[in-house]
Amino acid sequence: MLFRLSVLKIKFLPFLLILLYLISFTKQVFGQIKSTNFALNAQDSAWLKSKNFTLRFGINPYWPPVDYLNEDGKHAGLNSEYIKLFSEITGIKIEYVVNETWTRQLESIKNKEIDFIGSVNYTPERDEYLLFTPAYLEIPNFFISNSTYASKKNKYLSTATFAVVNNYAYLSELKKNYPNATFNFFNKDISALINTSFGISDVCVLDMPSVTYLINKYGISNIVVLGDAEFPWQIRMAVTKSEPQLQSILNRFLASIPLESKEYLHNKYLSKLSLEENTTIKKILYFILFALATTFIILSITFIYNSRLKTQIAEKTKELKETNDRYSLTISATFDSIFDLDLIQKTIRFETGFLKLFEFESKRKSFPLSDWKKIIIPEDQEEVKFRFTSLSENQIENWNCKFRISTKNNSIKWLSLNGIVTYSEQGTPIRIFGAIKDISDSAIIQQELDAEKKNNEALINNTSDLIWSVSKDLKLIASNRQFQLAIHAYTGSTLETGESVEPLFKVLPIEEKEIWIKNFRRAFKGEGFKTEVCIPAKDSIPDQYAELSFNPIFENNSVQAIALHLHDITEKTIHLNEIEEQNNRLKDVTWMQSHIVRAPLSRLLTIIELIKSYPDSLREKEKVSMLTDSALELDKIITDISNKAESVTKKTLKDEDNYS
Amino acid sequence: MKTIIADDDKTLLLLHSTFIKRSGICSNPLNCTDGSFAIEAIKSTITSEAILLFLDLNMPEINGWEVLDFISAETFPNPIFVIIVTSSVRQEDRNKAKDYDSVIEFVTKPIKASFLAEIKTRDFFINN
Repeated sequence: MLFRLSVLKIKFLPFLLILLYLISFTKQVFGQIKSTNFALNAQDSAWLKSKNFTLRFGINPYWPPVDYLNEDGKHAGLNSEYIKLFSEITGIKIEYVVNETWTRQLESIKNKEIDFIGSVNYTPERDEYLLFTPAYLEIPNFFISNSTYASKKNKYLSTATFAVVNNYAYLSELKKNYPNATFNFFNKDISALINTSFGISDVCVLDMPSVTYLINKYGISNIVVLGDAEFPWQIRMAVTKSEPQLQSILNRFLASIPLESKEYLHNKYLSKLSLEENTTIKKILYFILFALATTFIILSITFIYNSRLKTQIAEKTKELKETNDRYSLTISATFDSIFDLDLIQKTIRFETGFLKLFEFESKRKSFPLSDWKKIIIPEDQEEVKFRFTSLSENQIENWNCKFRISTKNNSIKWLSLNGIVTYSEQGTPIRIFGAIKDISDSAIIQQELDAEKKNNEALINNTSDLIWSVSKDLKLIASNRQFQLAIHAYTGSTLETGESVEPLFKVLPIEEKEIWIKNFRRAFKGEGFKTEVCIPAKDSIPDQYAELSFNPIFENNSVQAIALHLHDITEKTIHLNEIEEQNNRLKDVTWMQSHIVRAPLSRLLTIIELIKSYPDSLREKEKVSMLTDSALELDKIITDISNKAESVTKKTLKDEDNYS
Repeated sequence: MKTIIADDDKTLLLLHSTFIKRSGICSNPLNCTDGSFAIEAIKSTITSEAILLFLDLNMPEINGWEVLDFISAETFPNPIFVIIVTSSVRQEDRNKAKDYDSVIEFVTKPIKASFLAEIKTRDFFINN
């Protein structure tokens, strides 16, 4: 927001400056000198009545811009403003008397040919015949020289030649300060200035407004200001000594003029020296300036508007270019070319990438379809023809076709065309517009992948083991043929890729189902392991024993699927069980040997040991009886064991026969 | 020392009793023909005097292992020392017998006079 405001400020700055200029200009043009609280009293009126309300004012015509005649011969300059106001307020008629020189001006008032003058400095000499008002304007005077004199090293005003105007107030001061100086006398400021400019005189004394005015008017160029003369003009009005009432009136009049009015006049005449007092010229100038300003404003607004338009156009152009660039980049990054297939004219047009696609240059962009068909390899001609035929039959909106072409370099390329089909009102396909892409690389990769897939399928199908994989949501991802056969045999139905394997759990007994779920949870936590499972008998299928391995499939450090490998160990398990049973039988035999067979034997040995250790401990009859009983018992046991062993052998042989 | 002989083979029971008397281990051993009898005998002889039990393993109803389990499960004021006397030559039985603290010997029948003489020299026999 702040940025937008600053932009507006910059754009409208010329307009604002012009507006400010016009305001100040208008103030200058239409501002005016005012007087407040001034009124003629009875004495004034009585005195003026004696004068018939008419006063004579002496004009010094050669002191612009303070007091002079304009090109129309009318009184102009700063003094003229005061006199005009004086006349308007008092109703006194002013008669202007033009005196050609300042000397003549002084003589004229001294001789009472005129009643009052303006732009006069007080001097003791003049005080003898004039009554002065207070100074209403002060203008500093300067020593003015030419550039030749100014560049001199040893220049001393005390010995300089001064060009001075007759009867100017500064004369007595100059003569007093520079008694050894030489003075050339002239009647006008311009004469003194030109004399100095020509180098005839070294220095003249002039106020800055006069110098500036004269230089501008006469084109004097080699003038140099040496410094302040320290004798400023203190401008007053003066009347003849015999008219104190007029002095009184003028004093009160000047005192009634407010300071801002005086400043206004000072600025108007002493600061803006280039302005002419001529009303007509001024008006023309005002008009020209106003017209110029108006034109400038219109031009500025137009310029600003145009600039904004240009900026907008530039922005839009940039946006369009960027969009176009993006579009082109997207097209070139995504596709190799854009095609426009006219099914009525039977032409195809390519916008870009022709060389890359077909490996030869062509200035043409549009080709007959017959030419296009020639480069399609014979094996794919039928497929392409079918794709075109299907357009009319199926009203396909998104059309695609993949085929191979033979390039100019006799290389084979796979192309993929994808386009939007336009139909006539009758449903006839008339145009296909779309993109074309060289998919040779991906087609080759796809072929390789297909071959690899076939190999893998052959591998996993060439085993009696069941191999399958399930996703995190327990859906079948892939499986081998044995898995599908087993599922069909066990459930009577098939399990397609993408279907949930959970229904398989439902056919299991609860305890088996819980084991399976527990194993899946382990595997999905990232643990790979083997376990043995029993698949309970169902219908004609007996109990099945299998070694099942769970192998987590990781992706980005997270288990995404489980690969399962089930190896049938039913026969192995049955064999192991038989071996275990046989072992148990052997254990029985061992136990029998230890406890049954050795019981009478131990007794026999104990009798023998007792006879050996303590011969008298048993009587003969007892000895014989014990030994006989024990021997008979032992015989019976051995006979029984022989019979049992014979039956076990027969059973084992029978089992082996059954197995083989 | 109070001596009990447990064996279901009455002939052997008589022979062992003779051996024990003749060897001087006990002049009046108590003969038990099965495990339950042996347990009752142990229960009824709870005194401060130690008991030496010659125990056969393979007996009907309550066998020797069950008698050992009973001894292990109960707390007796008097020590009970068991010598297994069995016809079994199975290492399995020999290893299992080591699990019972009360068993001090595992002897395969026939019992010998030299063995009984050696028993008499042992600390447990001398001190009890």
